[in-house]
Amino acid sequence: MSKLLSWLNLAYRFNVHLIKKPFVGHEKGKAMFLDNYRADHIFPLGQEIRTRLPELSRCISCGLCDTVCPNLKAARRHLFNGPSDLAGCHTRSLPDYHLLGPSLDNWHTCDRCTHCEDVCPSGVPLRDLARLVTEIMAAQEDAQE
Amino acid sequence: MAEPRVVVIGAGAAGCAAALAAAELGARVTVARAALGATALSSGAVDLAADPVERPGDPWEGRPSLEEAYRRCRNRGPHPLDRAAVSAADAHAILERLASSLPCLEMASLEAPARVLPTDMGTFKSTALASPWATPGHLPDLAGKRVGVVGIAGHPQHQASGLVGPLGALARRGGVELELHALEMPLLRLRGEELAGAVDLARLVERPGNLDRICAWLAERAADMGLDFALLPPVMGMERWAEVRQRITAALPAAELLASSPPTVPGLRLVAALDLALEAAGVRRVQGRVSALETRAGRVVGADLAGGRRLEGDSFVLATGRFIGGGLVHEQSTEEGVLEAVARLPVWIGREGPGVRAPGKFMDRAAPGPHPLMSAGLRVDQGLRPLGPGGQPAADNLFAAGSVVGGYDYITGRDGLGTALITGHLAGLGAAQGGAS
Repeated sequence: MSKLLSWLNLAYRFNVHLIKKPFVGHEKGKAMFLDNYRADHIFPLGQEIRTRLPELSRCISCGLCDTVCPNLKAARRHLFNGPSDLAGCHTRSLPDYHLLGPSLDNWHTCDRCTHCEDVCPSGVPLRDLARLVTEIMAAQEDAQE
Repeated sequence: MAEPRVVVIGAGAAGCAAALAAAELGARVTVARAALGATALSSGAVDLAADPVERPGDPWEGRPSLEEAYRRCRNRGPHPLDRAAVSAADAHAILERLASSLPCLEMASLEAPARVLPTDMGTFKSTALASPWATPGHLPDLAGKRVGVVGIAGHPQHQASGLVGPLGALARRGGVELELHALEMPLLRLRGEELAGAVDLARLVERPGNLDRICAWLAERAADMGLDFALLPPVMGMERWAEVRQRITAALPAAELLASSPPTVPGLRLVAALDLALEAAGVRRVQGRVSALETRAGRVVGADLAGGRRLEGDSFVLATGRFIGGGLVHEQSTEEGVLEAVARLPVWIGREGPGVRAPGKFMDRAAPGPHPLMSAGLRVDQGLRPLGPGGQPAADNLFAAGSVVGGYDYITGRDGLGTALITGHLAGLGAAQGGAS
Protein backbone atom coordinates (compact mmCIF):
# COMPACT_ATOMS: atom_id res chain seq x y z
CA MET A 1 0.00 0.00 0.00
CA SER A 2 2.75 2.46 0.99
CA LYS A 3 4.61 1.52 -2.16
CA LEU A 4 1.60 2.44 -4.26
CA LEU A 5 1.27 5.76 -2.43
CA SER A 6 4.89 6.63 -2.99
CA TRP A 7 4.59 5.87 -6.71
CA LEU A 8 1.50 8.10 -6.90
CA ASN A 9 3.35 10.85 -5.06
CA LEU A 10 6.28 10.57 -7.45
CA ALA A 11 3.96 10.72 -10.48
CA TYR A 12 2.20 13.80 -9.01
CA ARG A 13 5.53 15.59 -8.38
CA PHE A 14 6.75 14.75 -11.85
CA ASN A 15 3.64 16.24 -13.44
CA VAL A 16 3.87 19.36 -11.30
CA HIS A 17 7.52 19.67 -12.37
CA LEU A 18 6.58 19.35 -16.06
CA ILE A 19 3.94 22.06 -15.76
CA LYS A 20 6.21 24.44 -13.75
CA LYS A 21 9.28 23.98 -15.94
CA PRO A 22 8.44 26.46 -18.75
CA PHE A 23 7.69 29.19 -16.18
CA VAL A 24 10.42 28.69 -13.57
CA GLY A 25 13.36 27.52 -15.73
CA HIS A 26 16.52 25.69 -14.67
CA GLU A 27 18.43 28.44 -12.96
CA LYS A 28 17.00 28.16 -9.50
CA GLY A 29 17.59 24.41 -9.39
CA LYS A 30 21.14 24.75 -10.61
CA ALA A 31 21.86 27.49 -8.08
CA MET A 32 20.53 25.29 -5.30
CA PHE A 33 22.61 22.40 -6.57
CA LEU A 34 25.82 24.49 -6.57
CA ASP A 35 24.95 25.99 -3.19
CA ASN A 36 24.87 22.57 -1.63
CA TYR A 37 28.42 21.92 -2.85
CA ARG A 38 29.67 25.38 -1.93
CA ALA A 39 28.97 24.64 1.70
CA ASP A 40 31.59 21.88 1.34
CA HIS A 41 34.12 24.19 -0.37
CA ILE A 42 33.45 22.63 -3.79
CA PHE A 43 32.81 24.94 -6.74
CA PRO A 44 33.14 24.87 -10.56
CA LEU A 45 36.69 25.12 -11.94
CA GLY A 46 37.72 27.45 -14.75
CA GLN A 47 38.42 26.33 -18.28
CA GLU A 48 42.24 26.64 -18.09
CA ILE A 49 42.59 24.51 -15.03
CA ARG A 50 40.21 21.89 -16.41
CA THR A 51 42.19 21.44 -19.62
CA ARG A 52 45.50 21.38 -17.75
CA LEU A 53 44.34 19.08 -14.98
CA PRO A 54 46.12 15.90 -16.23
CA GLU A 55 49.44 17.75 -16.56
CA LEU A 56 49.09 19.31 -13.11
CA SER A 57 48.21 16.00 -11.50
CA ARG A 58 51.17 13.91 -12.66
CA CYS A 59 53.02 14.11 -9.34
CA ILE A 60 54.33 10.72 -8.16
CA SER A 61 55.18 12.06 -4.66
CA CYS A 62 58.89 11.30 -4.98
CA GLY A 63 59.89 14.45 -3.10
CA LEU A 64 62.89 15.25 -5.31
CA CYS A 65 61.69 18.85 -5.77
CA ASP A 66 61.97 19.44 -2.02
CA THR A 67 65.57 18.26 -1.99
CA VAL A 68 66.70 21.04 -4.37
CA CYS A 69 64.44 23.95 -3.31
CA PRO A 70 66.68 26.80 -2.08
CA ASN A 71 63.67 28.34 -0.31
CA LEU A 72 63.20 25.22 1.74
CA LYS A 73 66.74 25.32 3.10
CA ALA A 74 65.92 28.59 4.86
CA ALA A 75 62.28 27.91 5.78
CA ARG A 76 60.86 26.34 8.89
CA ARG A 77 59.16 23.11 7.89
CA HIS A 78 55.87 23.81 9.62
CA LEU A 79 55.58 27.03 7.57
CA PHE A 80 56.77 25.83 4.20
CA ASN A 81 57.01 22.15 3.47
CA GLY A 82 58.42 22.45 -0.02
CA PRO A 83 57.15 22.53 -3.60
CA SER A 84 55.81 18.98 -3.24
CA ASP A 85 53.09 20.43 -0.99
CA LEU A 86 51.58 22.19 -3.99
CA ALA A 87 51.43 19.09 -6.14
CA GLY A 88 50.33 16.92 -3.24
CA CYS A 89 47.45 19.13 -2.07
CA HIS A 90 46.42 19.85 -5.64
CA THR A 91 45.88 16.17 -6.36
CA ARG A 92 43.79 15.70 -3.25
CA SER A 93 40.50 17.56 -3.19
CA LEU A 94 39.03 21.03 -3.30
CA PRO A 95 38.06 21.11 0.40
CA ASP A 96 41.76 20.60 1.26
CA TYR A 97 43.02 23.63 -0.63
CA HIS A 98 42.94 25.92 2.39
CA LEU A 99 45.64 23.70 4.00
CA LEU A 100 48.00 25.14 1.41
CA GLY A 101 47.69 28.67 2.78
CA PRO A 102 50.93 28.78 4.82
CA SER A 103 52.92 27.06 2.08
CA LEU A 104 51.70 29.46 -0.57
CA ASP A 105 52.53 32.49 1.60
CA ASN A 106 56.12 31.29 1.55
CA TRP A 107 55.95 30.27 -2.08
CA HIS A 108 55.37 33.90 -3.00
CA THR A 109 58.87 34.64 -1.74
CA CYS A 110 60.17 32.08 -4.26
CA ASP A 111 62.67 33.86 -6.52
CA ARG A 112 61.58 31.73 -9.48
CA CYS A 113 64.57 29.52 -9.92
CA THR A 114 63.68 26.39 -11.91
CA HIS A 115 65.44 23.78 -9.79
CA CYS A 116 62.23 21.98 -8.78
CA GLU A 117 61.03 21.67 -12.38
CA ASP A 118 64.50 20.63 -13.57
CA VAL A 119 64.55 17.55 -11.36
CA CYS A 120 60.87 16.55 -11.54
CA PRO A 121 60.69 13.08 -13.19
CA SER A 122 57.06 13.67 -14.20
CA GLY A 123 57.51 17.19 -15.54
CA VAL A 124 54.93 18.84 -13.28
CA PRO A 125 54.93 22.60 -14.12
CA LEU A 126 55.28 23.57 -10.47
CA ARG A 127 55.52 27.32 -11.03
CA ASP A 128 52.37 27.36 -13.16
CA LEU A 129 50.73 25.16 -10.59
CA ALA A 130 51.52 27.73 -7.87
CA ARG A 131 49.81 30.43 -9.93
CA LEU A 132 46.75 28.31 -10.72
CA VAL A 133 46.41 27.11 -7.15
CA THR A 134 46.45 30.73 -5.98
CA GLU A 135 43.68 31.47 -8.47
CA ILE A 136 41.65 28.50 -7.32
CA MET A 137 41.99 29.56 -3.70
CA ALA A 138 40.86 33.10 -4.57
CA ALA A 139 37.89 31.71 -6.50
CA GLN A 140 37.10 29.45 -3.56
CA GLU A 141 37.06 32.44 -1.22
CA ASP A 142 34.81 34.37 -3.61
CA ALA A 143 32.47 31.42 -3.75
CA GLN A 144 32.15 31.40 0.04
CA GLU A 145 30.94 35.00 0.13
CA MET B 1 89.87 9.89 -38.64
CA ALA B 2 88.02 12.22 -36.28
CA GLU B 3 86.89 10.86 -32.94
CA PRO B 4 83.24 9.72 -33.07
CA ARG B 5 80.62 11.94 -31.47
CA VAL B 6 78.20 10.07 -29.22
CA VAL B 7 74.97 11.59 -27.90
CA VAL B 8 73.43 9.90 -24.85
CA ILE B 9 69.80 10.76 -24.05
CA GLY B 10 69.18 10.28 -20.35
CA ALA B 11 71.56 10.62 -17.40
CA GLY B 12 70.48 7.86 -15.04
CA ALA B 13 72.54 4.76 -14.34
CA ALA B 14 72.25 3.48 -17.93
CA GLY B 15 72.99 6.80 -19.62
CA CYS B 16 75.99 7.54 -17.42
CA ALA B 17 77.43 4.04 -17.90
CA ALA B 18 77.02 4.46 -21.68
CA ALA B 19 78.72 7.85 -21.64
CA LEU B 20 81.64 6.58 -19.52
CA ALA B 21 82.16 3.55 -21.79
CA ALA B 22 82.07 5.64 -24.97
CA ALA B 23 84.41 8.25 -23.50
CA GLU B 24 86.85 5.51 -22.53
CA LEU B 25 87.01 4.47 -26.20
CA GLY B 26 87.90 8.03 -27.13
CA ALA B 27 84.50 9.29 -28.28
CA ARG B 28 83.38 12.87 -27.76
CA VAL B 29 80.31 12.36 -25.59
CA THR B 30 77.33 14.60 -24.80
CA VAL B 31 74.73 13.58 -22.24
CA ALA B 32 71.28 15.20 -22.19
CA ARG B 33 69.48 15.11 -18.85
CA ALA B 34 65.78 16.04 -18.75
CA ALA B 35 65.27 15.49 -15.03
CA LEU B 36 66.10 13.03 -12.30
CA GLY B 37 64.60 9.57 -12.61
CA ALA B 38 64.49 6.10 -11.14
CA THR B 39 68.23 6.02 -10.32
CA ALA B 40 67.89 9.05 -8.02
CA LEU B 41 64.89 7.43 -6.33
CA SER B 42 66.61 4.06 -5.85
CA SER B 43 68.14 2.70 -2.65
CA GLY B 44 71.56 3.43 -4.12
CA ALA B 45 72.37 -0.29 -3.99
CA VAL B 46 72.75 -2.20 -7.25
CA ASP B 47 71.27 -5.65 -7.77
CA LEU B 48 72.28 -8.11 -10.43
CA ALA B 49 70.02 -11.14 -9.98
CA ALA B 50 67.12 -12.26 -7.85
CA ASP B 51 68.19 -14.00 -4.68
CA PRO B 52 66.13 -16.53 -2.69
CA VAL B 53 66.35 -14.50 0.53
CA GLU B 54 64.11 -11.93 -1.08
CA ARG B 55 61.35 -14.22 0.13
CA PRO B 56 61.12 -13.80 3.91
CA GLY B 57 61.67 -17.01 5.81
CA ASP B 58 64.02 -18.71 3.37
CA PRO B 59 67.16 -19.88 5.15
CA TRP B 60 70.30 -17.75 4.94
CA GLU B 61 72.46 -20.85 4.70
CA GLY B 62 72.92 -22.60 1.37
CA ARG B 63 72.20 -19.53 -0.75
CA PRO B 64 73.55 -19.65 -4.30
CA SER B 65 76.63 -17.66 -5.21
CA LEU B 66 76.09 -14.43 -7.11
CA GLU B 67 77.31 -16.21 -10.24
CA GLU B 68 74.83 -19.08 -9.74
CA ALA B 69 71.95 -16.67 -9.00
CA TYR B 70 72.80 -14.71 -12.14
CA ARG B 71 72.91 -17.89 -14.23
CA ARG B 72 69.52 -19.01 -12.87
CA CYS B 73 67.96 -15.70 -13.88
CA ARG B 74 69.27 -15.87 -17.45
CA ASN B 75 67.65 -17.57 -20.44
CA ARG B 76 64.25 -16.49 -19.21
CA GLY B 77 62.91 -14.91 -22.37
CA PRO B 78 63.51 -11.47 -23.79
CA HIS B 79 65.78 -10.05 -21.06
CA PRO B 80 68.24 -7.58 -22.63
CA LEU B 81 71.18 -9.32 -20.90
CA ASP B 82 70.12 -12.53 -22.66
CA ARG B 83 69.77 -10.73 -25.98
CA ALA B 84 73.27 -9.34 -25.59
CA ALA B 85 74.54 -12.74 -24.30
CA VAL B 86 76.26 -11.30 -21.22
CA SER B 87 77.95 -13.99 -19.13
CA ALA B 88 78.24 -13.80 -15.35
CA ALA B 89 81.96 -13.08 -15.62
CA ASP B 90 81.37 -10.26 -18.14
CA ALA B 91 78.61 -8.77 -15.99
CA HIS B 92 80.87 -8.85 -12.97
CA ALA B 93 83.80 -7.34 -14.82
CA ILE B 94 81.66 -4.44 -16.12
CA LEU B 95 80.18 -3.68 -12.71
CA GLU B 96 83.53 -3.96 -10.97
CA ARG B 97 85.06 -1.54 -13.44
CA LEU B 98 82.24 0.96 -12.90
CA ALA B 99 82.41 0.55 -9.13
CA SER B 100 86.13 1.39 -9.21
CA SER B 101 85.29 4.90 -10.45
CA LEU B 102 82.26 5.36 -8.14
CA PRO B 103 83.24 5.67 -4.47
CA CYS B 104 79.68 4.96 -3.36
CA LEU B 105 79.62 1.45 -4.85
CA GLU B 106 81.53 -1.57 -3.61
CA MET B 107 81.36 -4.78 -5.67
CA ALA B 108 80.66 -8.12 -4.04
CA SER B 109 82.54 -11.26 -4.95
CA LEU B 110 81.07 -13.40 -7.71
CA GLU B 111 81.81 -16.62 -5.83
CA ALA B 112 79.97 -15.71 -2.61
CA PRO B 113 76.21 -15.17 -2.22
CA ALA B 114 75.03 -11.57 -2.66
CA ARG B 115 75.18 -9.36 0.43
CA VAL B 116 72.12 -9.27 2.66
CA LEU B 117 71.67 -5.78 4.08
CA PRO B 118 69.08 -4.46 6.55
CA THR B 119 66.73 -1.71 5.36
CA ASP B 120 65.09 1.19 7.18
CA MET B 121 61.76 -0.63 6.75
CA GLY B 122 62.85 -3.50 9.00
CA THR B 123 63.45 -5.92 6.13
CA PHE B 124 66.54 -7.45 4.52
CA LYS B 125 67.51 -7.00 0.91
CA SER B 126 70.12 -8.92 -1.00
CA THR B 127 72.25 -6.81 -3.26
CA ALA B 128 75.38 -7.14 -5.40
CA LEU B 129 76.84 -3.65 -5.07
CA ALA B 130 76.24 -1.23 -2.25
CA SER B 131 77.86 1.74 -0.60
CA PRO B 132 80.82 1.01 1.70
CA TRP B 133 78.71 2.88 4.26
CA ALA B 134 76.09 0.08 4.06
CA THR B 135 78.05 -3.11 3.36
CA PRO B 136 79.33 -3.69 6.94
CA GLY B 137 75.65 -4.34 7.82
CA HIS B 138 75.85 -7.70 5.99
CA LEU B 139 73.63 -9.95 8.11
CA PRO B 140 75.96 -12.89 8.88
CA ASP B 141 78.61 -10.39 10.04
CA LEU B 142 76.22 -9.08 12.71
CA ALA B 143 75.65 -12.46 14.38
CA GLY B 144 77.08 -12.63 17.88
CA LYS B 145 77.52 -8.85 18.19
CA ARG B 146 75.63 -6.42 20.40
CA VAL B 147 74.07 -4.22 17.75
CA GLY B 148 72.46 -0.84 18.43
CA VAL B 149 69.74 0.10 15.94
CA VAL B 150 69.79 3.90 15.97
CA GLY B 151 66.84 6.16 15.24
CA ILE B 152 66.47 9.94 15.42
CA ALA B 153 64.56 11.13 18.46
CA GLY B 154 61.51 13.15 17.50
CA HIS B 155 61.57 12.20 13.84
CA PRO B 156 58.62 9.98 12.87
CA GLN B 157 60.33 8.40 9.86
CA HIS B 158 63.42 7.21 11.70
CA GLN B 159 62.27 5.34 14.79
CA ALA B 160 64.51 2.49 15.88
CA SER B 161 61.94 0.89 18.19
CA GLY B 162 59.87 -0.22 15.20
CA LEU B 163 62.82 -1.86 13.42
CA VAL B 164 64.27 -4.09 16.12
CA GLY B 165 61.33 -6.52 16.16
CA PRO B 166 60.99 -7.16 12.42
CA LEU B 167 64.76 -7.33 11.77
CA GLY B 168 65.26 -9.77 14.63
CA ALA B 169 62.31 -11.93 13.60
CA LEU B 170 63.36 -12.10 9.94
CA ALA B 171 66.93 -12.98 10.84
CA ARG B 172 65.70 -15.68 13.24
CA ARG B 173 63.48 -17.21 10.55
CA GLY B 174 66.57 -17.48 8.37
CA GLY B 175 68.48 -19.14 11.21
CA VAL B 176 70.58 -16.19 12.46
CA GLU B 177 70.18 -14.92 16.03
CA LEU B 178 70.78 -11.18 16.37
CA GLU B 179 71.09 -9.12 19.54
CA LEU B 180 69.48 -5.81 18.65
CA HIS B 181 68.88 -2.78 20.89
CA ALA B 182 66.81 0.23 19.89
CA LEU B 183 68.35 3.66 20.54
CA GLU B 184 66.97 7.08 19.68
CA MET B 185 69.68 9.62 18.94
CA PRO B 186 68.70 12.86 20.73
CA LEU B 187 71.31 15.08 19.20
CA LEU B 188 69.90 16.49 16.01
CA ARG B 189 68.16 19.66 17.07
CA LEU B 190 65.11 19.54 14.84
CA ARG B 191 63.86 23.07 15.72
CA GLY B 192 60.23 22.14 15.16
CA GLU B 193 61.22 20.52 11.88
CA GLU B 194 59.92 17.03 12.58
CA LEU B 195 58.94 16.83 8.93
CA ALA B 196 62.50 17.45 7.72
CA GLY B 197 63.25 15.21 4.77
CA ALA B 198 66.10 12.77 4.40
CA VAL B 199 68.31 15.25 2.56
CA ASP B 200 67.83 17.95 5.21
CA LEU B 201 68.77 15.41 7.88
CA ALA B 202 71.85 14.34 5.91
CA ARG B 203 73.00 17.98 5.75
CA LEU B 204 72.28 18.48 9.47
CA VAL B 205 74.47 15.45 10.23
CA GLU B 206 77.33 16.97 8.23
CA ARG B 207 77.48 20.12 10.36
CA PRO B 208 80.67 19.92 12.43
CA GLY B 209 78.98 20.52 15.78
CA ASN B 210 76.32 17.88 15.11
CA LEU B 211 78.87 15.34 13.88
CA ASP B 212 80.96 15.83 17.02
CA ARG B 213 77.89 15.28 19.19
CA ILE B 214 76.86 12.16 17.25
CA CYS B 215 80.32 10.63 17.57
CA ALA B 216 80.52 11.42 21.30
CA TRP B 217 77.03 10.04 21.90
CA LEU B 218 77.79 6.81 20.01
CA ALA B 219 81.08 6.33 21.89
CA GLU B 220 79.20 6.81 25.17
CA ARG B 221 76.51 4.26 24.21
CA ALA B 222 79.22 1.83 23.12
CA ALA B 223 80.80 2.12 26.55
CA ASP B 224 77.71 2.01 28.79
CA MET B 225 75.74 -0.61 26.83
CA GLY B 226 78.68 -2.63 25.59
CA LEU B 227 77.70 -2.15 21.94
CA ASP B 228 79.91 -3.64 19.23
CA PHE B 229 78.15 -2.15 16.23
CA ALA B 230 75.55 0.44 15.23
CA LEU B 231 73.01 0.42 12.40
CA LEU B 232 72.25 4.02 11.48
CA PRO B 233 69.42 5.63 9.48
CA PRO B 234 70.39 6.21 5.82
CA VAL B 235 70.93 9.95 6.25
CA MET B 236 74.52 9.93 7.43
CA GLY B 237 76.00 12.65 5.27
CA MET B 238 75.28 13.99 1.81
CA GLU B 239 78.26 15.34 -0.16
CA ARG B 240 80.65 14.60 2.71
CA TRP B 241 79.35 11.12 3.54
CA ALA B 242 82.81 9.51 3.35
CA GLU B 243 84.17 11.90 5.97
CA VAL B 244 81.09 11.38 8.17
CA ARG B 245 81.58 7.63 7.87
CA GLN B 246 85.22 7.87 8.83
CA ARG B 247 84.47 9.99 11.90
CA ILE B 248 81.60 7.81 13.09
CA THR B 249 83.30 4.45 12.57
CA ALA B 250 86.27 5.76 14.58
CA ALA B 251 83.84 6.09 17.52
CA LEU B 252 82.00 2.79 16.93
CA PRO B 253 81.93 0.33 14.00
CA ALA B 254 78.73 1.14 12.11
CA ALA B 255 76.76 0.83 8.89
CA GLU B 256 73.89 2.69 7.31
CA LEU B 257 70.61 0.88 6.75
CA LEU B 258 69.45 0.73 3.12
CA ALA B 259 66.96 3.47 2.31
CA SER B 260 63.58 2.47 1.00
CA SER B 261 61.30 5.48 0.63
CA PRO B 262 62.13 8.28 -1.80
CA PRO B 263 63.73 10.74 -1.85
CA THR B 264 66.69 8.61 -0.72
CA VAL B 265 70.04 10.03 0.26
CA PRO B 266 72.04 7.02 -1.07
CA GLY B 267 70.20 7.30 -4.43
CA LEU B 268 71.11 10.98 -4.71
CA ARG B 269 74.69 10.18 -3.70
CA LEU B 270 74.83 7.65 -6.56
CA VAL B 271 73.59 10.28 -9.03
CA ALA B 272 76.17 12.76 -7.71
CA ALA B 273 78.95 10.16 -8.03
CA LEU B 274 77.91 9.35 -11.61
CA ASP B 275 77.93 13.07 -12.37
CA LEU B 276 81.45 13.45 -10.97
CA ALA B 277 82.64 10.46 -13.01
CA LEU B 278 81.19 12.04 -16.18
CA GLU B 279 82.98 15.28 -15.41
CA ALA B 280 86.27 13.46 -14.81
CA ALA B 281 85.86 11.63 -18.13
CA GLY B 282 85.38 14.93 -19.96
CA VAL B 283 81.76 14.24 -20.91
CA ARG B 284 79.70 17.30 -21.86
CA ARG B 285 76.42 17.53 -19.95
CA VAL B 286 73.34 19.35 -21.21
CA GLN B 287 70.13 20.04 -19.27
CA GLY B 288 66.98 19.58 -21.35
CA ARG B 289 64.41 17.13 -22.65
CA VAL B 290 65.02 15.64 -26.10
CA SER B 291 61.74 15.84 -27.98
CA ALA B 292 62.57 14.07 -31.26
CA LEU B 293 65.28 12.37 -33.29
CA GLU B 294 65.95 13.19 -36.92
CA THR B 295 66.69 10.19 -39.13
CA ARG B 296 68.22 10.32 -42.60
CA ALA B 297 68.86 7.23 -44.78
CA GLY B 298 68.56 4.78 -41.92
CA ARG B 299 70.82 6.74 -39.56
CA VAL B 300 69.98 9.11 -36.76
CA VAL B 301 71.64 12.46 -37.39
CA GLY B 302 70.35 14.79 -34.71
CA ALA B 303 68.40 15.10 -31.47
CA ASP B 304 66.12 18.08 -30.93
CA LEU B 305 66.19 19.61 -27.48
CA ALA B 306 63.43 21.74 -26.03
CA GLY B 307 63.97 25.41 -26.80
CA GLY B 308 65.16 24.86 -30.38
CA ARG B 309 68.62 23.53 -29.51
CA ARG B 310 69.95 20.51 -31.34
CA LEU B 311 72.53 17.83 -30.59
CA GLU B 312 74.36 16.30 -33.56
CA GLY B 313 76.33 13.09 -33.43
CA ASP B 314 77.57 9.97 -35.16
CA SER B 315 75.65 7.65 -32.86
CA PHE B 316 72.96 7.95 -30.26
CA VAL B 317 72.03 6.07 -27.11
CA LEU B 318 68.50 6.09 -25.72
CA ALA B 319 68.62 5.75 -21.93
CA THR B 320 65.41 7.53 -21.07
CA GLY B 321 63.94 5.11 -18.53
CA ARG B 322 60.56 3.43 -18.44
CA PHE B 323 57.63 5.04 -16.64
CA ILE B 324 59.33 7.12 -13.93
CA GLY B 325 61.96 8.53 -16.29
CA GLY B 326 59.33 9.17 -18.95
CA GLY B 327 60.94 6.94 -21.59
CA LEU B 328 57.59 5.42 -22.50
CA VAL B 329 54.37 7.32 -23.17
CA HIS B 330 50.80 6.21 -23.66
CA GLU B 331 49.27 8.11 -26.60
CA GLN B 332 45.55 7.87 -25.94
CA SER B 333 44.58 10.59 -28.37
CA THR B 334 46.18 9.14 -31.49
CA GLU B 335 45.41 5.49 -30.74
CA GLU B 336 49.07 4.66 -31.26
CA GLY B 337 49.07 3.08 -27.82
CA VAL B 338 52.25 2.78 -25.77
CA LEU B 339 55.27 4.27 -27.55
CA GLU B 340 58.88 5.12 -26.82
CA ALA B 341 58.80 8.87 -26.08
CA VAL B 342 61.74 10.32 -28.06
CA ALA B 343 62.10 8.35 -31.31
CA ARG B 344 58.47 7.11 -31.23
CA LEU B 345 59.71 3.53 -31.53
CA PRO B 346 57.33 0.59 -31.05
CA VAL B 347 56.96 -0.89 -27.58
CA TRP B 348 56.22 -4.48 -26.61
CA ILE B 349 54.40 -5.55 -23.46
CA GLY B 350 55.12 -9.18 -22.68
CA ARG B 351 54.48 -11.03 -25.93
CA GLU B 352 52.15 -8.37 -27.24
CA GLY B 353 53.11 -5.60 -29.56
CA PRO B 354 54.21 -3.53 -31.22
CA GLY B 355 51.82 -0.78 -30.22
CA VAL B 356 49.59 -1.89 -27.37
CA ARG B 357 46.53 0.34 -27.17
CA ALA B 358 45.03 -0.72 -23.87
CA PRO B 359 47.90 -1.24 -21.43
CA GLY B 360 45.45 -1.30 -18.53
CA LYS B 361 44.59 -4.92 -19.22
CA PHE B 362 48.14 -5.89 -18.24
CA MET B 363 47.61 -4.67 -14.69
CA ASP B 364 45.59 -7.34 -12.95
CA ARG B 365 45.62 -6.78 -9.21
CA ALA B 366 44.80 -10.43 -8.59
CA ALA B 367 47.55 -11.81 -10.87
CA PRO B 368 49.93 -13.92 -8.77
CA GLY B 369 53.08 -13.42 -10.88
CA PRO B 370 54.90 -10.40 -12.30
CA HIS B 371 52.74 -7.85 -14.11
CA PRO B 372 53.63 -7.81 -17.84
CA LEU B 373 53.19 -4.03 -17.96
CA MET B 374 56.16 -3.70 -15.60
CA SER B 375 58.45 -5.17 -18.29
CA ALA B 376 57.13 -2.99 -21.12
CA GLY B 377 59.69 -1.40 -23.41
CA LEU B 378 61.71 -1.56 -26.57
CA ARG B 379 62.99 -4.80 -28.07
CA VAL B 380 66.65 -4.83 -29.01
CA ASP B 381 68.96 -6.92 -31.18
CA GLN B 382 72.18 -8.53 -29.99
CA GLY B 383 74.03 -5.22 -30.27
CA LEU B 384 71.35 -3.42 -28.15
CA ARG B 385 69.91 -1.59 -31.15
CA PRO B 386 66.16 -1.03 -30.73
CA LEU B 387 63.89 -2.72 -33.26
CA GLY B 388 61.44 -0.93 -35.51
CA PRO B 389 57.92 -2.22 -36.27
CA GLY B 390 59.28 -4.70 -38.85
CA GLY B 391 61.59 -6.40 -36.38
CA GLN B 392 64.75 -4.88 -37.93
CA PRO B 393 66.95 -2.36 -36.08
CA ALA B 394 65.32 1.08 -36.37
CA ALA B 395 68.65 2.72 -37.26
CA ASP B 396 72.25 1.52 -37.61
CA ASN B 397 73.62 4.03 -35.14
CA LEU B 398 70.87 4.06 -32.50
CA PHE B 399 71.34 2.05 -29.30
CA ALA B 400 69.18 1.61 -26.21
CA ALA B 401 70.02 0.82 -22.59
CA GLY B 402 68.42 0.63 -19.18
CA SER B 403 64.74 0.31 -18.45
CA VAL B 404 63.53 1.87 -21.71
CA VAL B 405 64.44 -1.59 -23.02
CA GLY B 406 61.68 -4.01 -22.10
CA GLY B 407 61.72 -7.70 -21.37
CA TYR B 408 62.71 -7.40 -17.75
CA ASP B 409 60.75 -6.45 -14.69
CA TYR B 410 63.03 -4.88 -12.11
CA ILE B 411 60.41 -5.01 -9.41
CA THR B 412 60.20 -8.79 -9.20
CA GLY B 413 63.45 -9.49 -11.09
CA ARG B 414 65.52 -7.45 -8.59
CA ASP B 415 68.09 -6.50 -11.22
CA GLY B 416 67.13 -2.96 -12.16
CA LEU B 417 70.27 -0.90 -11.69
CA GLY B 418 72.57 -3.84 -12.49
CA THR B 419 70.91 -4.35 -15.86
CA ALA B 420 70.90 -0.59 -16.46
CA LEU B 421 74.65 -0.26 -15.79
CA ILE B 422 75.60 -3.32 -17.88
CA THR B 423 73.38 -2.54 -20.89
CA GLY B 424 74.48 1.11 -20.62
CA HIS B 425 78.13 0.10 -20.76
CA LEU B 426 77.57 -2.19 -23.76
CA ALA B 427 75.43 0.38 -25.62
CA GLY B 428 78.14 2.99 -25.00
CA LEU B 429 80.81 0.69 -26.46
CA GLY B 430 78.54 -0.06 -29.43
CA ALA B 431 77.89 3.62 -30.01
CA ALA B 432 81.58 4.57 -29.87
CA GLN B 433 82.44 1.79 -32.35
CA GLY B 434 79.34 2.09 -34.52
CA GLY B 435 79.85 5.81 -34.95
CA ALA B 436 83.42 5.41 -36.16
CA SER B 437 82.46 3.72 -39.43
